[in-house]
Amino acid sequence: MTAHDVTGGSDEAGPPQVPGAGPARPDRTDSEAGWRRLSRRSMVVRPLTDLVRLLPLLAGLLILHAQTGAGLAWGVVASVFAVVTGLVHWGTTRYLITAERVYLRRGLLNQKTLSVARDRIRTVDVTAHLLHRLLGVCRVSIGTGRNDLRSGESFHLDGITRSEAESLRIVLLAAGAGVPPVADVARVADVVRLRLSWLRFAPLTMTGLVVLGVLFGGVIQITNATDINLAATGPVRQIVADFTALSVVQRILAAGAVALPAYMLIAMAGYVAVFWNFRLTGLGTDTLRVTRGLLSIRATTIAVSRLRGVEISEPLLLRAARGARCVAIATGLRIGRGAEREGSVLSPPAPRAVAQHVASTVLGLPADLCSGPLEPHGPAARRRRYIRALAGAILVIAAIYVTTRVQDGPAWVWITSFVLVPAGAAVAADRYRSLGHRLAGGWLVTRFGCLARRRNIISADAIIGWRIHQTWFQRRQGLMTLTATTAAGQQHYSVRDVPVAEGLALAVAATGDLLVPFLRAPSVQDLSPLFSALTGRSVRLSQAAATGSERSGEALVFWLVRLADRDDVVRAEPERSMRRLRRLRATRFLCRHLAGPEPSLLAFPAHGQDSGQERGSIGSRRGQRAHLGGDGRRELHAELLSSRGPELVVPAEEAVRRRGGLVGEPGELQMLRPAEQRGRDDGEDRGEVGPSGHPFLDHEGAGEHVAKPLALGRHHRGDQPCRDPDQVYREQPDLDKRRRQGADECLPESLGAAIIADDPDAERHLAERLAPAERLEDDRVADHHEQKAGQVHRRGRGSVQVTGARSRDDDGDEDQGR
Amino acid sequence: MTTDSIAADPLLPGLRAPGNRVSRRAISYWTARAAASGAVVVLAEVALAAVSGFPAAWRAAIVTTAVLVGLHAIVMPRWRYNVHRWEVTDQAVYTRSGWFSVHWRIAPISRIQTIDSHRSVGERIFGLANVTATTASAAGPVRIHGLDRGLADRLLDQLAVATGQTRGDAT
Repeated sequence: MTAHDVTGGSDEAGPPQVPGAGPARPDRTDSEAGWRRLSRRSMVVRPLTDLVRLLPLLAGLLILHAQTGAGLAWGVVASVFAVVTGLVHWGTTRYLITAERVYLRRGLLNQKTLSVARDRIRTVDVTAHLLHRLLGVCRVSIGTGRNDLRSGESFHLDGITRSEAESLRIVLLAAGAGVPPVADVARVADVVRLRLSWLRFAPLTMTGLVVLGVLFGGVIQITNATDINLAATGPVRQIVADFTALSVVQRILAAGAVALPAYMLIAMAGYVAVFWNFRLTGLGTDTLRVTRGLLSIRATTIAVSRLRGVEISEPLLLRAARGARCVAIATGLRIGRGAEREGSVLSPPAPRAVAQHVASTVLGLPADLCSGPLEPHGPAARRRRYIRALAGAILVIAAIYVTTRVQDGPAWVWITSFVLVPAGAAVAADRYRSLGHRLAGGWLVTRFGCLARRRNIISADAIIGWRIHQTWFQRRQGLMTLTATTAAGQQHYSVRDVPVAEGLALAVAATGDLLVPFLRAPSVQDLSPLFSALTGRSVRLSQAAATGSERSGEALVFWLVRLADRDDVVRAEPERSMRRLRRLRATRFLCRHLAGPEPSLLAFPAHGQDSGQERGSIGSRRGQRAHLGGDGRRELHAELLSSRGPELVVPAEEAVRRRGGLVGEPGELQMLRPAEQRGRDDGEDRGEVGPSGHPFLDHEGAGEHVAKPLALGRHHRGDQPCRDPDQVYREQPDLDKRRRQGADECLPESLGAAIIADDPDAERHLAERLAPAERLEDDRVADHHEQKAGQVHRRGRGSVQVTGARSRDDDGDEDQGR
Repeated sequence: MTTDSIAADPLLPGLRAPGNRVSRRAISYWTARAAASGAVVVLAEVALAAVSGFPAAWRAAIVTTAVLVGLHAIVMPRWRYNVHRWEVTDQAVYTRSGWFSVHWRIAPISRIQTIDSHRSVGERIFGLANVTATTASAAGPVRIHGLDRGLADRLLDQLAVATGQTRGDAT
């Protein structure tokens, strides 16, 4: 288990509590060897900054003193205290860099030692405010992978010389990135530099408001402390008097004429102060460096290996002016409100193209991931946007109506509030337009929002878990909110209101087989209408209740995938509805990612006992059949038989193991298989199926081989009703035992049981036979379409049956299958 | 009431339910908890109403609240019991929770950083415990509520062993 990166060992003068410290752990009782102090010049920094913070209080006390003659002593005490604590802080702070860790010790009575493993250092942030710059020192903050959101212990050195900071930065990050620091200096490439024309974006962000708030807060603090009533002073009273003399229109104009330019000026001043000289530089290929600031300068260095993605944010106003900004998603860097005050900003508010350029350069992404279109979430998500926006609007209108009625207010108030309806609709439309996701090249892109639209691009490798959330309403609409959790940035990134299948497909594609064991494929029964519609054949898919019907469903899905790949099949669909196409697309997408690009050969599991349950049957549809044509059909079979993919034969146990969950007893399975076969291939089926003993060559029905995993499949599924806790526990996977079997040896299949591919030899064998489809799948999927489509037969054990096929009764069927 | 799969369209792949239910005693625990918090609300209302001498409007409000609280205490725990499931494989911890809204959580074993068990007073009365597996993400903890106490302890041990096997900084 990993230790925490930064550890605060507190307690008085105790030993530094360093969990898992290596051999290089310093002996605390040792002399001061190796421990370094802060710069002598920075001795005044802390006392002075503390005094500045005390200024409003001191001013207040001074005025109090002038009026009453008391309070001066308190001011002196406070100042002295501030100076002394500042000096103590400076005097007791020591740091030490060993081969493995960096230590920071401070405190006189409560000595505290922090330590951080050097290979956990993600970022080094060097800041210098005005006082620092006068003294030629700076402050260094070290960011680690620890989620700093709630920890009070930040690892920083306030007041070391600039040259020391620079060497510290190089040394620390070189250790983190594992690259000698010399390489950095040679290859310095500017990614982006501030241009003055970008100042036009300043009033469109919140920066101006923040500055305004800070100013306002400062004024309030001073007036409170000094006990001055601003409203009572002469000039203010004069202005108020003049203002009230104006008419309403004049007032609005006057206020606008003053406030707007003032706001713009303040916003621009704020922009300049924060982003002056903004420069994003790539140092070699492994570090990024951001420097910026007018009065207080900030230089952030980010190890590219710690960069997990970027966020391109476009607040509404900024978006209207085609602007955007870019923020890094890295472990060890916080993203919070006012991200520009933190170290993660990669581009200031700038033209959108600049932000996109920064994003794609920094991550080495194809440009269209940062700017291109995303997958829309479909009509249900759109409907949800509108319902939510309009329901909100109607609630507000109702509230206003009730209030005006109760208060006997004028009617125009609630009538004008109806303007909320079109406004809500506009917001909904925009929110839907913003909604989208995409997965390409190992990057997950999600976008959401209207007032603050964000496109998050995160690396699939950075995803360390999934959360899926479905409200009752979402459940009814087939939507879900898929959230990837990560250790970087905001810790979680959501794909909102995505159709369930597409969301799952996305998650499966992003994190490989993490999700696969927990997927549920459609059942045979569910699939039969689609199956019929696609093939144009009258088929009956029976619910083989005794053996895992879900697995049969999986096999069918794979077949459908192959069919859906063919344009003519898709076109042959009776209703070319969006819904069906989307469904096909999602299924195809999912299956592709589950099985790799080439699900080579599909076998229809055909075992199981007749459940006696109701089975759906669909009559022949000649109209659709015409689309496929005779040749098309043969092609389909050829496709089914062609085996270009890798060997996908997976032992049953392995396949089931891959599905995770609870595994049934192998002994139970044999009851499900035909008696003749049980004796024959017991040994073989138990273990791996080697090339010599390929199931297809040994048994003629593919289904027989699949039957075993299918049967297993049912036992590990968790939907069985209540069990008592002890039993549950017994059935838990034995973690120890199963680990030995290793996840790595898994073949690139996932649904496993249902796919059976072949080695070239077997392929040849099969190809030589006549009517391969018939042979392969016995008469369960036979293709006698030229025969008259007859009535549907109830079969004892088949899963897929075709009308018009030779009709045999159940017993004969079994015999001939051998 | 049950939500056996996440997909509304049966043709589409969905998530299957995790393998194990929580302890049946959790129903009583949730009922007790809902009843207790509901009772606080009702009592507060009664106290407020008593000050103004039980006017009709207050009485109606109290009755309505009491009915709603009672319904909640009856319906919610059973609904919740149907939803809450958990499963631990050698690859991942997989849970489903919630009632009106349903949450699924999946955390790979290899990314789990700490495993805690916690018992509140209420849970101890009913012999229950919960297990929390945290990951490097502040948004990623997976909680399994309402486990039998002995089961929770054994699960804790197993998970500790399992996570101890994987190395790396799990971010």
